Amino acid sequence: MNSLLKYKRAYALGLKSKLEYRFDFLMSIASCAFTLIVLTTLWRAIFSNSGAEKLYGYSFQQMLFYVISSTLLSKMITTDIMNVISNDIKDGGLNKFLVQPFSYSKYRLSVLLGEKTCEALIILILIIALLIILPLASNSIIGFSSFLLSLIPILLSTLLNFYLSFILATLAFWVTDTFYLNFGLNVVILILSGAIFPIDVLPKMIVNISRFLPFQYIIFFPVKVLTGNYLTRELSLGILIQVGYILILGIASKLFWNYGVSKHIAVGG
Amino acid sequence: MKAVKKYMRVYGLFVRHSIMSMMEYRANFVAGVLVECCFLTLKLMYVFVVFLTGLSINNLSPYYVMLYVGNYTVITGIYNGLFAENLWWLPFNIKTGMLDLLLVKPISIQFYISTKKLSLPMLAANVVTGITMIIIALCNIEFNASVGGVILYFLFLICGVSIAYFLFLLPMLLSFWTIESRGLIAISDKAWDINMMPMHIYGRYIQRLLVFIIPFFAITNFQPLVLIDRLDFRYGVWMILCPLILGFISRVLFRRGVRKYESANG
Repeated sequence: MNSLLKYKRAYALGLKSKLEYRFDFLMSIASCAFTLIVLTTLWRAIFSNSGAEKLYGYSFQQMLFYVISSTLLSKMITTDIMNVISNDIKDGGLNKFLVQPFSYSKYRLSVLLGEKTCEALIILILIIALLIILPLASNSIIGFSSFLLSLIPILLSTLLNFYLSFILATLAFWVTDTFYLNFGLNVVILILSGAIFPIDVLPKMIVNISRFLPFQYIIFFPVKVLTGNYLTRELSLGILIQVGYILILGIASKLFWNYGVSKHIAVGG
Repeated sequence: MKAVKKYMRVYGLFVRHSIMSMMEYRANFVAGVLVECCFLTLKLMYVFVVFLTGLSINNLSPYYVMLYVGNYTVITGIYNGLFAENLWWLPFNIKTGMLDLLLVKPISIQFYISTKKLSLPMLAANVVTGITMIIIALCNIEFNASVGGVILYFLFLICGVSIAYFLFLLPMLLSFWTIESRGLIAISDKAWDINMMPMHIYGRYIQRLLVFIIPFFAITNFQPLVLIDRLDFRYGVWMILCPLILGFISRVLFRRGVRKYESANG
């Protein structure tokens, strides 16, 4: 119980810090508008050019919904936690955490979830508004049930992204600068997670490669559930794969962390 | 003439210093190039989708989109490689009072803060990829440009980079008055993405707004049209006038900003 209270405090800390900088977050949401304008205009031109009702299994409305919700979700899911952790390691800020009676990874995860709560609320409200404006199913109940179901993959994808970033952040124990690595990871996630274009639109080779990687479970899978474009079997299998990846990455991050800390020489801070 | 020589010599020193510091951290240079390659893959995805769907924009084939994206990539590389990182530091220098140190240097402050550092990974990766795309596209479309057209292309390339520089300097200058303008800077930064596709894909009113009022489209849209000999004369004239007007406005604002500047620190 006591240990849970520690992480609740960390969660509240993250929440408060995000509320403090809410203007920044609203601005970053507003900055998505440009990407959205390009993508929606591009798809409108493609659909009107081809004259087809459906392309790659998506109607125009579904594609529009995919593009908007994937852009919003990628805003919510991506984090700079990798920079935060690697800076802690590099600048000696980690020292103060090592002597305290809590797990560093759980502390960072709690802070992240606190930060994401505020963002998630705003983004989910925007997605509900989108569901009302762009009804994807003739029956709006189906649309909203997909929305409720998608909350599970969305939460899992946040955890998945956290552990992926955490593992790469631990590289700061061995390399001097992880700035480019963080940048690179975010771009790879943008490409292979389906944040810009749905995975099934990409070349077959990329689709095949991405099958064996966790990235598509960060954006593509939750958005697919959100658009109602899935079978029940696919949903349960997808959630199982997400949980599997989280467990594997969680264990790997613990191993990396313990090994890194054992080699860590605390200077500065 | 003497002043031009002096500034060229100073710029040469900046270039040398940037190369030296990059060579000191070679791994960072390689990592930077790799990250740029990832960004380039992102741009190529747009071209890929256009080819896959056979999209024709303004009655032009997908190879025109490739030509356009190649040109956009070259301009992105030049602007980001030469100016973007330098301009990014201006609000920080104003906020922390670091500008004090720069004000006492015996050269133009605007020149110094705009050109001090070169980002070679961005410049190299984007320019090489962009030129490759332009060449592939030109081999597959009707290439109508005369020698004059090619010269005009390079002139418009310089104009496009100048428009980008002045246009993105303006929100940074706001920091002289508001101290904190991160939100606006983040938005203007993202506005670069609007050029990911040719302007003809957008509606007529958006085109007019972003060519003549907030001239984002003027940065990358007219150079490829010169190469295929389809540029409207009015746009050609605007392409020459636009950097002059923006240059004048930004210069006036920069001078006023420096006059308004009060050291925030130290």
